[in-house]
Amino acid sequence: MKNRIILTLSLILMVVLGIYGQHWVSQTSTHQSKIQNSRMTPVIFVPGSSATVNRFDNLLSTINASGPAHSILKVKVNQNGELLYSGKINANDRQPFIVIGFQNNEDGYSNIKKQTEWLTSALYALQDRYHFRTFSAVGHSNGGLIWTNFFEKYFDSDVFSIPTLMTLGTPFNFSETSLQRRTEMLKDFIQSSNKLPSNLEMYSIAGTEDYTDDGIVPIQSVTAGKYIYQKKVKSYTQITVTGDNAQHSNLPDNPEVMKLIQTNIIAPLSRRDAH
Amino acid sequence: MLNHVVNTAQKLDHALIHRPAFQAISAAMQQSVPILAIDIYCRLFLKLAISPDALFVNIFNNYPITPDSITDRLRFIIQNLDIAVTMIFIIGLTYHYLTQKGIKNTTLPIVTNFIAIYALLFVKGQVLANNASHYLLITFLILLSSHSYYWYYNHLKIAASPFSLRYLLWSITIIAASLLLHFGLHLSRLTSIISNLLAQNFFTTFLGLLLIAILSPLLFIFGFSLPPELTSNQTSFNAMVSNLDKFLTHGSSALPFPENLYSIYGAFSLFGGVGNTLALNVLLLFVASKNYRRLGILSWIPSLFDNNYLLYAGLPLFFRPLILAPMILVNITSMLISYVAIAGHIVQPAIFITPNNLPNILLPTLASATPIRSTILAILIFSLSLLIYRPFIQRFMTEVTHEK
Repeated sequence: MKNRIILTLSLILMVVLGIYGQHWVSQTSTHQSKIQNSRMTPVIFVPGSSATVNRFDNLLSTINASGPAHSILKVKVNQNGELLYSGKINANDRQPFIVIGFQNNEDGYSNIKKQTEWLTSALYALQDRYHFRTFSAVGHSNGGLIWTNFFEKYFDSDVFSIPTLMTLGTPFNFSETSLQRRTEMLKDFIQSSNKLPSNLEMYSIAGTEDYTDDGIVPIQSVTAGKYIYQKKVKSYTQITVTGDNAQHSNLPDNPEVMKLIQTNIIAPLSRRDAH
Repeated sequence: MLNHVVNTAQKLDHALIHRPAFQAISAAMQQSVPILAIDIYCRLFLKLAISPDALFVNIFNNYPITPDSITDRLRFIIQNLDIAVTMIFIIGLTYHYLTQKGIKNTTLPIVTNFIAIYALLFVKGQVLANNASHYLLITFLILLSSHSYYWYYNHLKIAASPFSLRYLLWSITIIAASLLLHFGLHLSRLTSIISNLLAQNFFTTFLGLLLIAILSPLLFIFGFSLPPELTSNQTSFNAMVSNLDKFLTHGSSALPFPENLYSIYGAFSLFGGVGNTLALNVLLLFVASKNYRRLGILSWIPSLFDNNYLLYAGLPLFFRPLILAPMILVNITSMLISYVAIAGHIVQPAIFITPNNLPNILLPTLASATPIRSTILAILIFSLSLLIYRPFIQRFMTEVTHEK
């Protein structure tokens, strides 16, 4: 009698777990299916310190003016993690531009760590909303540091596929002019560089006004990125742009930089999409 | 034919269980059952209700998230319970083996074996990956050490204190040898090598799946630590991921690997743990022996959630031909039936991922695109498992009665 009660209760437990389990499986499969079948491959931009989600406005409108128009979505992450969306993604746009900025956009390593957490939560929220898996990343100044920290600490290749990263004037060694003096952040990045995805193509763009810096970031600090990325990712390319528009804050508006983004970020993503 | 296999297994079993070493192993294992039960129930509580990826967290909306401090505290308790289970087994085995050999004072060998195994397995975080695993390694080392003590004792013919310098020298030698072995032994590396091997496409073929159906009960009964891919989780295999990708993008037409470890072995051979031991547990609930019925009840809930280590220590299953034979038969039968059903397109293979820690008995229903047919197949295989285990358990119980 006791055994029959045990078996009956177990059967009821299995039925209950089966019903809830079935609900979980169907929800998960639908979500996975949407992501898997999504043909959207956005380019996600992260601005540097003190900059807002409008930092790339000139760059994006110039790109849109010179070719097929991409819809633009801006996401501001508040300090409490709340996401504020502006702009929209057109239903038939397979390659939208998304800019993710932060309410707390101050400089400093501890803040970069916080901004990386906010970036991660924004990426997951965007995936839930638009069901994309593949995207390319662009970071201006500290935005490149946030992406680097993201790749080393939060990136999950089962969730996202990121073929290309481009950093613009990113100070991998902050304002240090000598590579002999490595900041705590650079040391941490080098130490965790084994976690960088091996299939990533990385472009680090530096600007020089006077052969030493771009007005703010020393060229040595930008080139320190090689100690993090070189031989750890699929390819690491260091490009230096010079001239009038090579000042740190102007880098996103530099015509050379715009061409580099079109050639190395937008075009390869379009080809992937076509396949 | 089946009768012949039962008779042969019983003869082998009979020859084995009357050996002094095996009696010591059996007594030590059964002695560890109470602490093992606490350990397994704590582990089950963590897996179902507490950890961040617990079953209830996954399937019930608004299930309260347990603070990290509580989860960490419970993990710490479980880790120490794991150590306690192993240590009680070591103490019991050393004591029973040496008292059978006529040695009255077993304090020094018990302390020595305790320290030696602790140094071998638990120092530097080389904690046992799965609870109560590595029985073969531990048993072999304890018997070797205890036998060397027995030989030393007889060789010296000393009636002096068991803590005299000569005995202490023996103790130091054993502990030093175990420390040396610790540096050369990389159990986690061995497990990861097996995991990598299992990811090969060979294990999506008939031969590969048949090999696993035979090997997994052998390794389990002989006390090897099985990699997680053979006990619970096959979702990381390329074959399974490729099937899911293909299904999500193109529907069920022409999956690349319909027969694989997840869809055959994981879905139909792990009800209650390796060898469909949930069927064995059902039979135990109805045996005549009160002790074994009690064990059946105690291990029932863990078995439902695919943990059969209480049966392993309580019966015990370690090195028992009378359990190994039906386990291999059950695995081969399950494999053949599910392979034919999938290859013949009678059922769709398991392709979906199910919530962590969900009972495996529900896997065929939830993970297949043909849930009703897969459920019928699962019921058929489970019923056959009951039929296969039944004659062996009847003989097993006569062995028990005979012993009494």
